[in-house]
Amino acid sequence: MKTDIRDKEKNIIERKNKNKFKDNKLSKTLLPMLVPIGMIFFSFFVGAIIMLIFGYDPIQAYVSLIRGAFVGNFNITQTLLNSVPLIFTGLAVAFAFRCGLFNIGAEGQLYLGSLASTYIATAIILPAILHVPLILIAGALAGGLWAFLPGILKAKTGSHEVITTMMMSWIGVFLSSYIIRNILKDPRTDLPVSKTIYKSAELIKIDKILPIPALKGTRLHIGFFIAILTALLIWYILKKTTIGYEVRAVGFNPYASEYAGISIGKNIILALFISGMLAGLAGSVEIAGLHHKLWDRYSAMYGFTGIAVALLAKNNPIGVIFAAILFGATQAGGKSMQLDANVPVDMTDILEGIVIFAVAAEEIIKMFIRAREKRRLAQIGTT
Amino acid sequence: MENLIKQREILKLENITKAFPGVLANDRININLLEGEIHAILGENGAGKTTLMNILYGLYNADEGKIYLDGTPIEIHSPKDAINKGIGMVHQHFMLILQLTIMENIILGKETAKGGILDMNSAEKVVKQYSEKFGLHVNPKAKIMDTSVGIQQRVEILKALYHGANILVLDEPTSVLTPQEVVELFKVIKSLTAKGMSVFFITHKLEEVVAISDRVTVVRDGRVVDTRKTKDTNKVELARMMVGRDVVLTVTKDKVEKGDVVLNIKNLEALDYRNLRAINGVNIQVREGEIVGIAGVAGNGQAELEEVLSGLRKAHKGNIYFKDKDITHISTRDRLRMGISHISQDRLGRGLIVDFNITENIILGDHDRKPYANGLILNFTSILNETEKLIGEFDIRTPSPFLPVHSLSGGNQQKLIVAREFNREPDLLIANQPTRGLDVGAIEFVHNQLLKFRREKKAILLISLELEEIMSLSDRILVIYEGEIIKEFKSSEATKELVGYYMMGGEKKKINHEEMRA
Repeated sequence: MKTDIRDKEKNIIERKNKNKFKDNKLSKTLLPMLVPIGMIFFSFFVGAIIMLIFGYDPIQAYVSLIRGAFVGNFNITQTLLNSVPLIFTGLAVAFAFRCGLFNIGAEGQLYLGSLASTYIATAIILPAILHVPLILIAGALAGGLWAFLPGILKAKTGSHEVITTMMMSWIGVFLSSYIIRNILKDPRTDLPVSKTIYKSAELIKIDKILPIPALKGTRLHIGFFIAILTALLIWYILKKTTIGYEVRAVGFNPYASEYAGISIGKNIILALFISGMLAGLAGSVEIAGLHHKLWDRYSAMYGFTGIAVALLAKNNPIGVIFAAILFGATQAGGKSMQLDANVPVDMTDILEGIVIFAVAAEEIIKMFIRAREKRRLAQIGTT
Repeated sequence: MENLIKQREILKLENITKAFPGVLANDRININLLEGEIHAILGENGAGKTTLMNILYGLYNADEGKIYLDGTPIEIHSPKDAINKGIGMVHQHFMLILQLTIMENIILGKETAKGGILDMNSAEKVVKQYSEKFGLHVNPKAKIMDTSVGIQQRVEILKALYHGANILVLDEPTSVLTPQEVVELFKVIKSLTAKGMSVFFITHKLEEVVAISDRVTVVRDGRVVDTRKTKDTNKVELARMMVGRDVVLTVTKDKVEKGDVVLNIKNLEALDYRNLRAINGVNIQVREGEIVGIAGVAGNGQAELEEVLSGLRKAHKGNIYFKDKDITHISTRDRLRMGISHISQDRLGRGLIVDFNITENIILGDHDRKPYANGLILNFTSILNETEKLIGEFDIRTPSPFLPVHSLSGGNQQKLIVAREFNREPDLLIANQPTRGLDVGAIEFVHNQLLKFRREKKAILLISLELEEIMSLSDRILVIYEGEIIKEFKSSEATKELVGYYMMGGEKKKINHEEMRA
């Protein structure tokens, strides 16, 4: 009996160790993905219950949602177009998270990026090869500046970035309203919109460079590829460079980082600056790729949805791409859900909300497990 | 204790087994406690001592096994059960409410009351009565936060007695005490057993077992190695039983020629976080091939001294010279680069990033220079090579270099830190409590590394609360008290009593007391 327990225990330990250290690439890449996918299914299940309660047909709703998001060239490109700004804002939030910072002001940084890009794109004419990079750089720098200030404040005075990025965000939103209506305004109309940008500042449509018949006539632009390349770049920076190493070190344990000669303040400022640059790029790419003019309050809360994207992606830059496409798809599909199944489009907001809850709940459960683990280790004295 | 055989068996733990996921913490443990005896339970960290006592105290339920009190089997499911059965426990970390007075803490849970109203007068009376009966003198009306650690421990013991304990479990009770306080504690324990109390004394320190216990049970890897009468055994044998191999208990220091002054601290002053003076005009010199030990009771400026030296805290006044260069205002990073390594007392807080894996912790601090990085790009081949080399050299036990550091044992975590800090090839090492919380085997390892470093004619400033450690390693011993170095000893002149006397303030304290009276 007693030896049984010991043997069983040993077996469990051995099995655990084997699983833990087996260099199985497949399980390494698949396992972390399974959890979010489960979360999404769970959220749709809860969403179905809610629809039933309110007298809608969830099956019809989901069928039309999926059709609206993925069936047909137009729908697919709409999903991908929606995902472009979300990839950028998701990366912005995720990068700051890796440094232990919660940048909830991506919305304002996005508007600053839009403003700077629109200004460069309407004020000067340059060859496209110069003009496009210039407006992207200008947008990134403007967004970066908007997050840099909270970074300075946090590093120098300790003021909390949740407060400061949020306040800066609203300043950014209303500042851009003012500038659009008074400085960049298109004089030919009374609407709150800027002049149209020069052709040389536009991002090329994909159907112009890739002879894919399915994309013919769609609005999908190379901003989608820029977003994916940016995600890869951020992954590389975090994983393979000293910059990313320091940012993560400070995020995990600022005290140990400081003790090893890593400047906490420098990394806070840098992480928020890069975060803001990414959010600013979201604005630049939207203007140069899709809208070609800056409408007042045009952003469909991309900055805030970016928080949900980062959460669902567990702050993994590659995961951000998929999470952004998912949110882009529910937004694209939501419209056809309303048309075909008569389910209000607000249902997509509810679904997004449930996804966030599910992700947060998982973190809470993990926190409990970790706390229990810690207590256990403390009791047997191995910590 | 000639009549041990005649003593009544008051408590028996039979076949106690407790498994946690991944660990069998207690494996069929049998221990009995005789009336009026001091029974030491000796084992390394993680051997399962504390788990066993937590089962006895009802914090855990055993998977298997029985507990007998006076020969009858009993069930203990909560600390309340244990207290009702007369079992009291004093934890390593005290469970006192700082804002309340001593008597309020003692009566908590079994308050003296008249018709629902607290009766503090009789509380005071009862507390005084208990403290006189057992020779545990305290001021019932003092607030806990104004009392010393030694007094707080007394309060914990009094609390257990007040709640009716006749079996007392003391979990590593000396780890927070000064040598003098330890002597006091031992007197108290002996007077308790003289009055018929029985005591389980949990420790990993051999000297304490020999000094105080009647019998000793050695625990290793969750199992009982043996139970002996203390007078029939000795330290060497106990150490072997505890670690499972021969352990060299006394370090042998080679004679090393002292060279130039490496660290020169002149009139250093520093403030603590409340902006009060924590270090007050300190002068310290450390030479090549020398270990200088800073002895003192915790909270006398050691933490601040470490921080000022590593560049995390500003010097208020004075200067720090490293090889004749003034480094007082130089950043932590630059000090590391100049050849100053440090081992923090706070292993998990300062020393490691526990969510990082071993390779990432090995490069911490050197991550942005060769061979770990080319410019901004990390070089994973040389990072892995270097890590594997160090894992071998410093015997870090791990199944993989990519294991997060929080899943290593304390000893292996410390080995990792030592490996990293020595691998920087420094000329000066500042070690603050480098063996804190480690077991005998790991302590031996760290001490040998420090001595090897000294043989290589490097300088070490060793700050420690463990007087034994200071005495056995240092060439010179400086005693720090209230932020001042109040006494210097050559290692040959120092005795435990003498150093302990100065740790408590020595003459300085006497003068202060007289001033206060006048």
